[in-house]
Amino acid sequence: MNIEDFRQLAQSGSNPSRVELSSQLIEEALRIRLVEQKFLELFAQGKMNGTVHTCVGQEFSAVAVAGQLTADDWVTSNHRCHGHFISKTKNWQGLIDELMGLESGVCKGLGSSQHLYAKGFLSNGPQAALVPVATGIALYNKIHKQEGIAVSYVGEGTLGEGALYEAFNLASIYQAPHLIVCENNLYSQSTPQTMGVSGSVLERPKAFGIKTFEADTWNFENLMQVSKAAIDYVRTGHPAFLVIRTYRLNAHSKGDDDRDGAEVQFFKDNDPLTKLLNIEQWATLAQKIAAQIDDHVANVDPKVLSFDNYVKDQLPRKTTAKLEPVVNEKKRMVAALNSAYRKTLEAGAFHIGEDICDPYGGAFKVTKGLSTDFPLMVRNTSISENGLLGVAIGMALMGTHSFAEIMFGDFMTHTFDQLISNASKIHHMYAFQTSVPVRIRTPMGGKRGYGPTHSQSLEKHFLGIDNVGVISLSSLIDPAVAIEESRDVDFPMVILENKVDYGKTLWSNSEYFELTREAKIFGALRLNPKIAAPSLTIVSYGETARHIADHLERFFEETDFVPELICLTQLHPLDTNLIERSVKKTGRLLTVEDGSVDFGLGAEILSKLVEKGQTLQFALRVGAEPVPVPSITKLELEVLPTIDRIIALVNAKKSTHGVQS
Amino acid sequence: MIEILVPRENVNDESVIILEVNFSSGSKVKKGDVVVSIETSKTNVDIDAPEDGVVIHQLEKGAEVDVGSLLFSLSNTQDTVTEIKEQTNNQGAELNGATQKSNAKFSIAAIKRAKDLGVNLGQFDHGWVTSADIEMHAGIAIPRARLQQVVADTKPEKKDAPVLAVSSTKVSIPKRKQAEAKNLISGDHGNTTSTIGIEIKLLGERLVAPPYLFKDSISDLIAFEASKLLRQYPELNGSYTDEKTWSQYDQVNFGWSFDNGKNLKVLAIKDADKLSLAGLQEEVGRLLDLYDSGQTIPMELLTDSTVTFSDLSRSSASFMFPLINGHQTLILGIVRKSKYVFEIFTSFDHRVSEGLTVVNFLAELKSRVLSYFLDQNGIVNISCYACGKSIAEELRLGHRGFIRMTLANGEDENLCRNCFEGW
Repeated sequence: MNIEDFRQLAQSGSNPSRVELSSQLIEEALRIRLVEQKFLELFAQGKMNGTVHTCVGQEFSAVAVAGQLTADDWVTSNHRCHGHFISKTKNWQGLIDELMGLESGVCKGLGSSQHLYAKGFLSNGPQAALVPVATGIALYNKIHKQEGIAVSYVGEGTLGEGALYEAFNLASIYQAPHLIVCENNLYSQSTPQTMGVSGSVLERPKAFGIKTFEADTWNFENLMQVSKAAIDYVRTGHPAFLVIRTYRLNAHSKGDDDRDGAEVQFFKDNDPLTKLLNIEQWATLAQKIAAQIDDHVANVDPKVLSFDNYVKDQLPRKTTAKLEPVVNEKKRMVAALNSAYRKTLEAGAFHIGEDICDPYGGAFKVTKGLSTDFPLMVRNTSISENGLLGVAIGMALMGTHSFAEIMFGDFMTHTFDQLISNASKIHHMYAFQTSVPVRIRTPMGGKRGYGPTHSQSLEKHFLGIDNVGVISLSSLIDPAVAIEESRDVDFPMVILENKVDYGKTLWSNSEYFELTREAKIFGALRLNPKIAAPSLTIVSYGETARHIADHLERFFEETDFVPELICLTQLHPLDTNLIERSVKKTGRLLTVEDGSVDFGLGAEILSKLVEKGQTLQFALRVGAEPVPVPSITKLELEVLPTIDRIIALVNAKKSTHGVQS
Repeated sequence: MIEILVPRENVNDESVIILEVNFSSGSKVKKGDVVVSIETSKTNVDIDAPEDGVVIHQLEKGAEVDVGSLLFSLSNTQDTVTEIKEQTNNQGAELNGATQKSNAKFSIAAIKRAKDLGVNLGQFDHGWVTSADIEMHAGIAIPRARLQQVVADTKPEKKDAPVLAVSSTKVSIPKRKQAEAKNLISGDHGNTTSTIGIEIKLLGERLVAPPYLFKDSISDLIAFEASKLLRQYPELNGSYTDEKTWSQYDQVNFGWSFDNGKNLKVLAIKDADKLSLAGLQEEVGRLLDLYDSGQTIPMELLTDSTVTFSDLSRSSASFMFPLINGHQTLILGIVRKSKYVFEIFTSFDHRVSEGLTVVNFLAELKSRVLSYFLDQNGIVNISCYACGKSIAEELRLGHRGFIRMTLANGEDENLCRNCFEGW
């Protein structure tokens, strides 16, 4: 369809004088318009900050879909969400307070125009980011045989984002009750559809086997029927796509409208609500509504959220001096992980990933046997890391602890948008009303000769994301401890596993070293020497810590330092308490991380120690060389921080700095 | 010889566990016999013999072996089997030998340092020994002390801290020592100084005759050897600072005590450990001149001693109880009990060092002094009283030794056979 088709639709729209819509629906549409206009007015008066993207001209799209949903249904929306919000939640007062930045707002003023939340509704600025999340919500309802459906509002411009197609694919494969509503208003900010969307809009969902519906806001009675049909169809347990052709009468946000003035005027003249307002009944109603709005604005509580009430997160930040001994059963790491994840399923968790189901049981067999016993809660997906994480986040929003497997740590690159746009922010921007207990688990690491894109350790790039914890599992201790502890916390987490570590047998007692752990959630481990006073503190994590632990005698013999090894479980947030205790004894620190050292974990450890006034006689960060991991066996072991390299670098530092043991 | 390696059955596995070993090493097997069963992360796998032959392995049930390592070898000649059996036995012997190692472990740097310093590694029977431990044992300045000094620098200076003339390094006094000092103070004597003595019996004349100043004396040898030894016993060349610290002097300035009855002075031989014997003999002579001349003695000679030596060997005293000078932890004194028998007395600060340390110091000092009286064959330098023939010559004549006779004044002397028997 093009602009000409749209003009035709507009001209042949419903005749307002013969409309038989209930006054409630027209009232809702009027309210949306009047609230939007009020926002523009308040903006002009300087009483509102930030930005607004008004949906003036598109109101019936909200009324027809969001307005015909139940309290059990969920709506996700984007930047132009005010109408959707009002229709779904009816809470126009909360919306006004929110945009005015008041603590009485739906998100205490934190999210403002684009970041709204209520039970049954969420919106976020980045295009398409919430669509796979909605698929996850729909899947939740399907699994638990609940009535609710998920509805995602997108624009035609959103058809440029990959995540939308991942969601189409997943919704269709799972046959999730997910309705995607595309408000095609022909313009994406300043880009007309002809320049941003190739081919056909409707052929896209059709290609995924998704049933399509179409309507427009000018024939709003037809729109109401078509929307109801689509909703009812989706409720039977299928995805659907509804394109609603419409036209926004105002600018994308404020004042930046380069569209042809005559074209805009045409649609203004043919706007259904404008026509309705010519009828006295509706004009009077409009005045009444306007008065209500003015009255509300005049009497808002001016209280604003304080710093202390905002700046806190869900991450574990307690320290403890208490240490408890660690005793491991004799079993392989992969078996230990399998049984730990089985326990999470017994407690109601959800697992999703590529190839994780039986008989294959996962690329590294970590999930073997789980889908057989928990078929509804262990799901394979297509190769869609962004999408599968979105689905996991959707499940998490519905209260499930969701484990999303990213098959190789190298593929974490696809997950950044979901991590940063959604998982990291939801708890805060929605004013602590909800949490995202999603756990992304992925194996990092090389030493298998798999080459540059299957051997990386990318953790440094997502250490320090707001409200996202990062833990590292190591065969030094049964992973069941940390995985069990994750049950008690609701923040999003990345769980780092390691390919080479999968095959190791859990650490058994050492003749020379005592293994203890901090008695707190995700406590760090300490291998302290029983036989001599330590003269160097080594800090590492994961498989590298195990690798170092296996070679501590050789390390001592070749570097002349008696080592004490600290293996961190919780990388972010970083608690340096156990490290400090050790460094006070030794005065020397060696950090070993799997990726390159620049801007990495070692840098963070040293910074924290320096801030606390700890001086060091010797400090060295060791990591991988800052080049892609090569496939050549010998070269790979020289590029990665293996024990030979670690010892060589320690000795080199000793001799160049004249440091004695 | 066919080598069967440990297979990687699963993508995760770096190792497998030996479940069952069905044939002991050296047994004959037929093609298809299951030699060993292994457990991978997923399942159990039987490994069978690809041909007839004799299996050679070192497998133990329950052991964990690396993927890719040798599981077993299959040989089909008797000779090879014998060869391999020998190898296996040798390896076993090596292993047994290795397990008899002592409980101490040494870093490579520690082994090298011990060799450099002549420290016997056998005296370490536990722990992981680093080069710092070796140095501490050899008495060399402990690098850790410098770290502690950095930390100590942040503490405010004590107002009445003793002023040490010579540069020094602070060392912590262990808590055990602190407790010991308190115990000594509360004991009957109520002080923390102790005295130990050792007798040195000369067995002959010095191989190399000394300058006249030191004729019939061993004081120059004492000064020379003790100065060097003090480098290995730093707690005897220091100063007690406070109950938690003592200071280790960076130099050895051997203080020689001069006393003409009216004007006792102790003059420092600076860096005595760096002087040669001749140099030291010369310096003592110079200081004696200076003392006798009555000239004003330069201040630093009077204040810079790190240890004091009191020579009473020319007097008739046979016992002394020397008193430690200020800012020092040791004083050496020497008396002569008879022509050839000297006794060295040391008083030391028990708050800083141990009795056993001082005993070791004295024993070492004695042995070094005596070495000036024995040639490389261990023969002393004694001569016949009558004809002056040396004992070496006497031994060459086939006689077993000298005869000891007592002179009219009661003193003992040596007489060669010829002189005893007459011509």
